[in-house]
Amino acid sequence: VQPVLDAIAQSAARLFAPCNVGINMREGDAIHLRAIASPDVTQQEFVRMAGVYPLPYDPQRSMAARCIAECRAIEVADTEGPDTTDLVKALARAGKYRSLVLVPLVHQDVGIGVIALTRPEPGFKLEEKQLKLLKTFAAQAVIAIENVRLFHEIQEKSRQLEEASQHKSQFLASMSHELRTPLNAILGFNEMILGQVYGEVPQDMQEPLKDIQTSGRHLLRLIDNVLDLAKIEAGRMELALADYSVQDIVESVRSTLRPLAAEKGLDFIATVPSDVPPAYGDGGRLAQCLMNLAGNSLKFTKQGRVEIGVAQENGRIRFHVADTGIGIPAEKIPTLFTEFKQTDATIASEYGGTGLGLSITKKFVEMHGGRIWVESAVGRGSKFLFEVPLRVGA
Amino acid sequence: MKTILYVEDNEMNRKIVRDLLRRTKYQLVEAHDGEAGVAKALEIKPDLILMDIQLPKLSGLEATKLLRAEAATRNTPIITITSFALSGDDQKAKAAGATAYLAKPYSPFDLLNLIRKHVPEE
Repeated sequence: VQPVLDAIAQSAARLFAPCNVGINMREGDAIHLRAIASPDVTQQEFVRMAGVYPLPYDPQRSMAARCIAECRAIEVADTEGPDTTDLVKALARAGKYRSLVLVPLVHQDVGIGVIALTRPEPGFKLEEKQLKLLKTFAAQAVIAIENVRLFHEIQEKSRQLEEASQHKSQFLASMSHELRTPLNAILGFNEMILGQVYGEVPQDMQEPLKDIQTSGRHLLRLIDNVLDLAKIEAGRMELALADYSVQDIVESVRSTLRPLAAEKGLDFIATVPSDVPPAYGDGGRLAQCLMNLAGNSLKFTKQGRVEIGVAQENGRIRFHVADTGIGIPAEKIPTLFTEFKQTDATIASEYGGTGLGLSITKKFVEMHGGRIWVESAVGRGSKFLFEVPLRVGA
Repeated sequence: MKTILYVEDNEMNRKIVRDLLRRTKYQLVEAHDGEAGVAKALEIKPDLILMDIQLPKLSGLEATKLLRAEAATRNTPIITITSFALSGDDQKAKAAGATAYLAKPYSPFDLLNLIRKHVPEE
């Protein structure tokens, strides 16, 4: 705000020459001198010599306070007159003036400060027209001051928002970690019960125990996805770059998902051209991306096939997952890669899934400097494709 | 009888391994933090060490490095248990001198198989 206040003081001094100008601003119970335009005295000298700053916000003792409190212009014809207070005298002597005019700076009907014009001789008075001009000037000054304040406020608010969002993401990240620990124990004990470590398990208890295992694993995937997303949002997700084998990635996804495909009676094909050279990137994360896409395809395909393919071109490697599943309506495609946007809430209950997989996949692909897209139509299956540099950063 | 030292601060995780190994011929010794883990390892010279990565006082990675610098435990198989499978913990574990690692959440039976692979039950 200071440069604005200085500019206001200088402009007022020019407009109302040969007056000197002081700008006082109210801050709670005190009034501070914030700018001065005078050839005789600097702001520091004046404050020091007067010895009364900050002024009390007391309309009985201070003319500035009265001007601010009553939101009206005040003229003091002679600071050494019989009605003036000690405060007025001290200020006038330090500033070497005998008469002054004060106009309030009013924002939304509340006085926030005062512009003072001073003259060394007693009896100074503004003409009606000049006083009107000074009031207009004061109104403009308030707008300038408030604009700067608003600007700073917005800056501060946006900084706070950013900080809050960081805190939220960090909270999510640590919370997810805390959630995993007890869930690990639940899954571990359950698996040991199922594995008869604690003795024989009756036949009719085996199914509910398996249900616990399935639900527990689903919850764990959900937590893992939230954790990944929180880390990405907090800017704390880093790729672990290393050489990786495209063939190994595809094979790991194929072997992990093969039982699921077999269970559903789907053809599940994965092919990689033999001439794909060693790639450089975060193989683990790319495997996770491919796993998300292939897992989705298996989930949304009731009959037919799911196919994983790889193509290499111009230093880029393109993965695709195609299926003969339910397909995606055209209007749903734009929001498909946004968090928690499965195309239909009922789909989640029928097909399961966290609604986070595609969003995370997109982020990992983009962290590699790649892109992801989909070709799909209702009833005609879907084909998800993503492309990353064969060697990231090369 | 083969001795396994398990360094882990979480009681539930310790109980899982305790229950898991109770029906085997392995003898289990437990330590609750990294410092105690290193001290115990040097004292009893176990046949295999299970080391959680996130531990109070001294991390599992630091503890593993220290044990690798000691003659008594230089060649002892150390299986580190990492929290996040994909965040590079496995590389850090390898760099610290771990023999193998297992990412949480692990199947208790996978852990048993891994132990058996490095130190046969008899």
